[in-house]
Amino acid sequence: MSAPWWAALMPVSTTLGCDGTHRLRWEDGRLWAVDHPDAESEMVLAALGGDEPECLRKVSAWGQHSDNLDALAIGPRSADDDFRVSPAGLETERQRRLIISRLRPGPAPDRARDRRTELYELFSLGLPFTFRLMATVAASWADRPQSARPALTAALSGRLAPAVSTWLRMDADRVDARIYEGSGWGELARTADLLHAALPLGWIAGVWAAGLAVVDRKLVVEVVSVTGSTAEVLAVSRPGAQPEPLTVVLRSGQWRPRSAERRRDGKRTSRDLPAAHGRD
Amino acid sequence: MASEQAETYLRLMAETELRRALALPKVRVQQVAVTRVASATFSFGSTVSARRVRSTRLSARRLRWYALRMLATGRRRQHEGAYDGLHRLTAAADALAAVDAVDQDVARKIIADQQLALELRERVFADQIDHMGMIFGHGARAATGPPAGPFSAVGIAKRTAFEVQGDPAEVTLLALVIGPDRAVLTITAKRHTEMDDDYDDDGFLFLDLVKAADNRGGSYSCDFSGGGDDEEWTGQLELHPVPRPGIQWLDLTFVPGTAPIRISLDGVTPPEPIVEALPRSELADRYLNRVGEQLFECQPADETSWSDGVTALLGAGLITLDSPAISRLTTIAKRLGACLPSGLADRPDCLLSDRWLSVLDSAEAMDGPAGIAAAAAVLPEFEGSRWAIAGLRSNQDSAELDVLGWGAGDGRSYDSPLEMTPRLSWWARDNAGRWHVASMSDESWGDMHKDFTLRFTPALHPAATSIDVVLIGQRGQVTVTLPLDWTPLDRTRS
Repeated sequence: MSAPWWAALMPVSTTLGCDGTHRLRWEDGRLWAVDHPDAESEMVLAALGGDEPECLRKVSAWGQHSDNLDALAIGPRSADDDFRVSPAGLETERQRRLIISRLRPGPAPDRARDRRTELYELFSLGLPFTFRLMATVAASWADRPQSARPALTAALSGRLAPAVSTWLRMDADRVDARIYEGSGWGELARTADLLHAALPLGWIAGVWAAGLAVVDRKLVVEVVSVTGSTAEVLAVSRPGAQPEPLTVVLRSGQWRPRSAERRRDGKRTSRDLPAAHGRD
Repeated sequence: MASEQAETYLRLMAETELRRALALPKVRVQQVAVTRVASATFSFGSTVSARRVRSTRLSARRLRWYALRMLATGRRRQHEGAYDGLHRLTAAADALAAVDAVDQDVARKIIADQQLALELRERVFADQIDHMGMIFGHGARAATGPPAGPFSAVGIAKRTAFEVQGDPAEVTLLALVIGPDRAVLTITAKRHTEMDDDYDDDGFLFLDLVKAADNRGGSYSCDFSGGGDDEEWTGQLELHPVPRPGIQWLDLTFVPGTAPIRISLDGVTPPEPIVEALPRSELADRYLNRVGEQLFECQPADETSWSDGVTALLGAGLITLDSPAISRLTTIAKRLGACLPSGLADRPDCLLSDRWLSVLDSAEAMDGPAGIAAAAAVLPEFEGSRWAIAGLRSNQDSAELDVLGWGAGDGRSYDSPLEMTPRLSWWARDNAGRWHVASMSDESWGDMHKDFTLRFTPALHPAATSIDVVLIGQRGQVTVTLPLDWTPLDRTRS
């Protein structure tokens, strides 16, 4: 039995300017405004014409983008991706939108662009939040991939290929990925020059977004359970092999096999460990 | 009908191109300053006054476009690697959309997402061209068809000579097209005088002062749009207001005090176009034919500029390497000396259709008649557009046909990325048996209009007395036969 998709994603928080400096926290699969204990009432007031606090605006936007496939199309493909939405970049985007809104003929609002800017603002919360947003989106489509199969196949391929490249030291372009819709963890098979991979969409949400894709030179295919910063996962050592249980521990932002943790006596160290995608 | 396989192919291609881009160095992004927009807008003023720009038709929309275009191109680009990938993706999207394998809006969205993904990784500059799309709503704009109401076209092929400020001038009237929302005379104008200042286009200002009157006492003013060199301009005179149906003639006066030239609108029998449906199953064939036409037009030095769309059709499984259409295209490419990508180079030659054989065999013909013909016709509404043929000019190596259009069915506009391969093909066959393939030039777009000149090559056969103009679209074709009753040109146009 698998763990919930968010189990290996550690809580993260950030601060932003609201009515003072407030905190946003993501935990157990949802974003919440720590300093707005009665958020529901405040949202009702905002809906009636009052000012919407920035914290609640972010939470609302998060909810609205929780199935937005653009997050997967645009967002990072790996921890090494150069993806960055800096505050300065966001300001530039706002400036551009200001210019454009003045040049744009007609009063009609451009909802698609507004949504894009909202997404941009969510990305600007930082990479840990960005990975969690992508996990949220992937999880929301996990039980209905047929509704957007091309976009979801690309989302899976774009994230699995770099992981496989790290795992097997092969050209990422030689990875043929598809969404696995059966029961179980999926399939991996290697032919002469291709790796054929079929993984469920939940892999993006539960494994990849948590920085667990490759640990100890194994491809993690499923998170079984998480207790604190220790996770029980299923990992494949080579294509064609069956996944085996592996216990991993989050230390200094990286998942390491428990065995490696125990052997920090100079005899062996873990290599090629990807960074976990953010944590408190 | 859109196919999941084709969309998946396109999206996976985007992933591959993004990985390639990440292996390239970052570009250095210069922040956009508001003042640059302002300065670009103001400097635009000097640009539009340059000759050859259809200045009188420039709208506020175009002004904004030029401002942003200048802003975008004003940046220094350090390398083109990620742009090449974006171009490849766009070419693939264009091809897949052209054969209806991917929805146009989906294709545009994939390109826009890729561009933003590259921007956020600093592999391309934050490009104002994309933001033009957001201003003008590309992708979101609903296709608009031609306006309802009567259309008519009258061939004229008359020349009138007069003096402008003491210098001889000459105007050739090709055709008059009247639609529900505009009336346009296609013309060429010559002035036999030297104009010293390269930026002085006053010599043709008289074209904006033309007056017209009809048999019912109605009067009209004219706006000219067009361009040319010191001696000759080609373009359009747009009449205001639009003449009402039922008038019998128009008298045009180019210079006050000179004799008017009469255009008869009475008793004109328009040619009857023939419309034929084409099978949807041959969409990919027609796309590959259009690629062949582009090869004939451009004869590119390398295969990368034309093969990306073909590769996309193959990759998405919409066509196979052993299909006759691929063999036809590679045979044409070989005949034209174009480079072939490695996967296509070893395809065996095939027997080409009559039209391609004729065009390729006569490519160097220089025996075309030098003259103008009163060729005019209105085609029925065709795939969302309405087209009117508005005059034919022929010289020894080619022939030019002016075309006026209404509606947005063609998909070609300056705010669409999906225009690398035209959706329409224009061919012609003269009654001496020679085929001619068209390329577009002097294209201009307005909100509802798109006008251009078709340049047919090879030259018309000197013995031809009529020509079939064939418009091939996504789902059908229209053929109209036009008589060739030549009015000689006084010299061969270059």
